[in-house]
Amino acid sequence: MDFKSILKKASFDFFFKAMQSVQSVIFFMNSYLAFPFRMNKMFLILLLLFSFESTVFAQANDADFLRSTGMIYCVIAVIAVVIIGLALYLMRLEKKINKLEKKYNNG
Amino acid sequence: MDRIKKHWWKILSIVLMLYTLIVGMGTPLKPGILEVYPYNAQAGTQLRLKVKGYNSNYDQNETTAWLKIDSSYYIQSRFCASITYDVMTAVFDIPEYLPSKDSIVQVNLIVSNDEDKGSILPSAVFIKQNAIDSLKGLAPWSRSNTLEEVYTMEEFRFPYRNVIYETVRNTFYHVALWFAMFILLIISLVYNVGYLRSPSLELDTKAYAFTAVAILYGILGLITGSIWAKFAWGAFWTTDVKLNMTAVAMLIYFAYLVLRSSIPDLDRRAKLSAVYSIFAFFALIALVFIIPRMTDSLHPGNGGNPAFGGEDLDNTLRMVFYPSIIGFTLLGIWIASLKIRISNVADKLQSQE
Repeated sequence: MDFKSILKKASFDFFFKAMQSVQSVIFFMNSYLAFPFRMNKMFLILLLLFSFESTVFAQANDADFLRSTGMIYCVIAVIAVVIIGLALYLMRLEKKINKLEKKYNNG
Repeated sequence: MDRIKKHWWKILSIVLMLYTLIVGMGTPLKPGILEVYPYNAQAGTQLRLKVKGYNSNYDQNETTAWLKIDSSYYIQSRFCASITYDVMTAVFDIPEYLPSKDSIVQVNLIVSNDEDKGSILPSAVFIKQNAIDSLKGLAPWSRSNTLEEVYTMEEFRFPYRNVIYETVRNTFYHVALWFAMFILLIISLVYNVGYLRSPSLELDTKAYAFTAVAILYGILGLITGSIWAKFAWGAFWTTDVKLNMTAVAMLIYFAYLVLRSSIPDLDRRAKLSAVYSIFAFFALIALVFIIPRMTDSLHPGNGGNPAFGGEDLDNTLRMVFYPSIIGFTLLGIWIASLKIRISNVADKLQSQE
């Protein structure tokens, strides 16, 4: 098996596992929505983040897979964490602005 | 035009981040050797070594391989036959005696062709010799400190390093984050010293905003470093001295946040947090730069080694690493400036009430 076919199989595997995790998230949500439980945005994002990480690290056990792609998914996970972290911080700032706006409009 | 003049550094930060992403992810690694089989050989026999390369082109070029002992004695392969573009067989006639006094000698493998240039796998094969005669062993092995036929590749490609492979790119996203954090902390240090010289709440707000963004970068640096450690060192958290000392430093900065939120009086809060964060900054320098150099560390540039350089940061990596630091720093300044404006508006609204 040459490199390109391994890569093709690997990307298919990754996509498949990602779809699986999305399905499991939907299942998880359904099972929790039955309870009187208020799901906010943060929780949803954390859940999605968690599912993404689990798909990335599910690959970590497969040493051959990682070797074949030279551990490029580690770099992708790192970039994803940086972007998600910055986005979460900006969302916090936005919340502060929303509060100020409310104050300004009311007062 | 006025807008561009006013916001040029924000545009620059976005351009630099894009440059870091595109060039940092798009540039291929130099060719390297992933692994060989078998790992063991007997002196005086023929060794058929199966070599698996990375980013290599064995099929279109005539490849030569060498086995090298102690960086000065080497033998050339009898011939190399490519199987695919990244797999080939190298055949060596290993002499009966090795130029060494040990019965088991570890040998480096060097592979070179016109397109890939030279690549090396350290400790590729262990050769066992039954009888030891290092004088007889000298004759069949050529002696030279450098192989004249082997050059390093001069294309713009990142260095291939065993164990970390593609994750050498994390230099631009993990290491640059820490450098940017230090620049942000130095900016906040300047504001803190300025506050102590002539107290004004404006300076305190600025110092706090920059420290907060620096702490965000620190947390992101710890998480990204932990992911990288899982892939390169095998565990999310190791007992590496730099990891633990950085965690301690981050706790000191968390205490800064707690300190600020626990004092209601504005002037007292400003004065105390200015003094505390100056102390925290110097504690951080001691914990992150000094202590890891005194013992062994898995991080490059620590454990007595004076610098972060050589193969860990060569000129091609520098071309992306420095822009990445500037990009992350400008992005941090941008976020901090937003934070400063928000708290200024909040203060104004509060004083109107």
